[in-house]
Amino acid sequence: MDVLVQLLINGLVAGSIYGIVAVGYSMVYSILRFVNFAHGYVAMIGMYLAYTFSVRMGMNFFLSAVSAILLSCLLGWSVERAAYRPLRRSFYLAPLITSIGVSFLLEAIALLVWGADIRSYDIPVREGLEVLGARITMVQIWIIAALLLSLMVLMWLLNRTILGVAIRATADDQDMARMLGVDADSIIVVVFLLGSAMAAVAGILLGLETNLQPTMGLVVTVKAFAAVILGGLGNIYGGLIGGLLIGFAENLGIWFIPAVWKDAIAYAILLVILLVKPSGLFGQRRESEVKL
Amino acid sequence: MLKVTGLTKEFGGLRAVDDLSLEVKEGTIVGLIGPNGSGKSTVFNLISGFYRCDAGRIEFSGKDITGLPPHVIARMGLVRTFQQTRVFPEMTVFENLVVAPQDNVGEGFIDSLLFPRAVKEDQKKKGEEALALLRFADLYEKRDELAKNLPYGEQKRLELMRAVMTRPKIMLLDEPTAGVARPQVEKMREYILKLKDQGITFLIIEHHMKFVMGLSEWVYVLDHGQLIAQGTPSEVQKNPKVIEAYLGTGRMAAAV
Amino acid sequence: MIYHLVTLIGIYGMLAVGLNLVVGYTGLFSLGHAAFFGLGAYTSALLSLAGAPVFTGMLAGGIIGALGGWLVGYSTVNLRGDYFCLGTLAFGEITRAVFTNWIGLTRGPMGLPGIPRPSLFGVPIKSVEQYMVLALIFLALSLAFAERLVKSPFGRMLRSIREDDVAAASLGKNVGRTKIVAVMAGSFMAGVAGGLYAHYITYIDPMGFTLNQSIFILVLVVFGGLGNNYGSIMGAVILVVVREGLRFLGLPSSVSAALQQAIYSVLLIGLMLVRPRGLLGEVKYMTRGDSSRSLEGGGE
Repeated sequence: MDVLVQLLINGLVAGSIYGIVAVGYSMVYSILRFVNFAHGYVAMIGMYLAYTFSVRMGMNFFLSAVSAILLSCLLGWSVERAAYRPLRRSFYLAPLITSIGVSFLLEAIALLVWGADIRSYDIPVREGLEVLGARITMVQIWIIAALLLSLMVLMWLLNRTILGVAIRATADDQDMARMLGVDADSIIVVVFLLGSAMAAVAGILLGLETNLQPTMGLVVTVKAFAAVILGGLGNIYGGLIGGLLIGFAENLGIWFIPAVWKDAIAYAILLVILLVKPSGLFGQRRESEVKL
Repeated sequence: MLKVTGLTKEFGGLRAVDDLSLEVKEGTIVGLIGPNGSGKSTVFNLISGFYRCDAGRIEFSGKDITGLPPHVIARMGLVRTFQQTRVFPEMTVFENLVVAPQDNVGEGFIDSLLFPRAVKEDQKKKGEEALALLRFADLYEKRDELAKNLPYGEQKRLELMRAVMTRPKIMLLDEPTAGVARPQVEKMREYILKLKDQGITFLIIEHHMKFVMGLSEWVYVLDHGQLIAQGTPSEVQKNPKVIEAYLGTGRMAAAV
Repeated sequence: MIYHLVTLIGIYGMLAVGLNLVVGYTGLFSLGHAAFFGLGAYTSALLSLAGAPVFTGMLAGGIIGALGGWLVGYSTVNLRGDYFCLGTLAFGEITRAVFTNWIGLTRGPMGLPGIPRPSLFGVPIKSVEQYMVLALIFLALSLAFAERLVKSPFGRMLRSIREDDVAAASLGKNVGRTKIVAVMAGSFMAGVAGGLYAHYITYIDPMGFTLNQSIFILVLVVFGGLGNNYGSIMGAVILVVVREGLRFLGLPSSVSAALQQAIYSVLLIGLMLVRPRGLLGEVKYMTRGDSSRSLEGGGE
């Protein structure tokens, strides 16, 4: 029983991390209609930046995290500016190919700068709470709190501000939004800034929960994307729920099968969804999309 | 030849097509008109299998084709064109035509590799057929140009001829004159009449009233997904319901 | 050394030609080509270690690769383009997890050593020169196969599907089946190439079949030009030479691997920005975004 509760808690933590990346993914997707493969890699870079600031330079962890998040925003913005924007009128595979190029460049940079060795934030593990016989560490409590906080900020932004209305309008119908005077380009910039910030938050939290590795970029990208598809493309909160489900699935999965398969579980879920219900749990099948 | 009964399609609770029934007899030209947004193209997408209907039955040549995939329906001889033309942009005009026939030898994986001679012979035949059709459609001079470089009106014609290459029994034309320059509209009319003489049946969506009224033997009028009138062109033109539907959108005046 | 390079070019050329069939001619973006490569390599290696003739193993490798292609194709081919990309990616990662974790069969990360070299008509192919000839023969066969295919009506149909699959379906083309066949043909070639690789290096482990490998093959195709078989081979020639050349800079292996990766990614990005058609590319600007699957004006 204790183990089960522990797995549930781990699932909750991992799932909320995937979910928060997925939300950013969904936003970019709903506006640009392309899979930004590099999204998870921005999270990975954010994770390492925080490491540099806190461990290598000895800065306060909170300050390091904030600086890392800001720098990740800058990174997301420059990638959009330099690599994606010039391709908006190019052939349809070009943005996808480019985003894969960007991803691998970011991973290569991480390998060159920080190396392939596993690193960690050196934060002492403190005793946390006991819940139903399972232990939640202090760090996990932080993670959950940070997630709740960023979610609340995001929801407030999307639902209560003019900016949010503009983003949602652009996602629904870009031409209509343009007619209403929304500048699509600046919305795209905002979405990339926001998405990158959330990716960096998730990356840092993931670094706290597990440890740091350059391959995390791919892991985050794929899991977040699986979350998005599971929740239904274009449904922003669907991605969040999808992320939670995947977090639970892979953590509970090791209750049944050996832990080495943990990563494969997310991929298997992805394949099964594609096969069974490609529109996701909460996405409506777009009627204009036809089955040939 | 084509018989639709009780066809219904909903989009997110909105009835785009509501209990529609219509019939197209062999060897005729039938028009399907209605104001913008009345659901005409949806009807085409349903009949040709690109959308799945929520209720109703579609019969073609006496067979139930409801719910069959598009390529199967096309192979039975029901071929459609699109409101916004969909030629293969990076292929030449000639290639656009020769890719179309359904009995092309060598489109199977195996025979493409194993039977080069049969493929060659068949391609020669199809090539001649395509060239003849290009002459007929006044596109012969442009046969080696990429389809995307043709003006829109000629793309429209190319799309029509590409569909003819499949040797259809019935063709569903979605606004064959949309975006076509005035002198070419008359040509389009001639092509359609000649093809009709060759035994092709037509169901045509059109906004160009003079065009569709002049061609059709029977006209169905759709408004908000419902059939509001049918009859010969002259009957339909006098029908108060039709006039009202068009007046509501101010289209009839512009169209006639 | 030069023989070794040419042999590798033969193997990667085969992989690129196969992938070009999928990406270049059919317009399906695959991120899992290394998985089919790996399936072929493991199948062939395991069979020959169990005593089967090497060439039988290679054929079986091709067939298993094609089956994998069928699996991915069947589940994703009717969906949006990016789904195929993710489906292949997921398939690749699952395959690699199997290679790594099914230790009873594959020995996991320790890899399979001692894979036999083939022999032809009783003559063992031992030297690198001989193997190079074998690899070139395989490459020539693949090229002939692919050229025949794409120049045939089947290839023309592939291109029409790449250009506009809705229109192709409206003419009566079985779009789903055709795409699956193209994917299977590409994965078959990858599978055979896997066998060729396994029996050449005589040792395989899961690290040879990673996502990075898939991306590398993709870069070969994109670099040479989508939809041009000779371009794919040219991509293989240039980039294999660059890759192997990097090994001679005397950098520590971890640095050189990362450097390699950085070079490919910069090449890929730069190419998309400057010359999206690749060096010998056929595909021009196909502006076919989300609208490809939507029939005009949802409502009407």
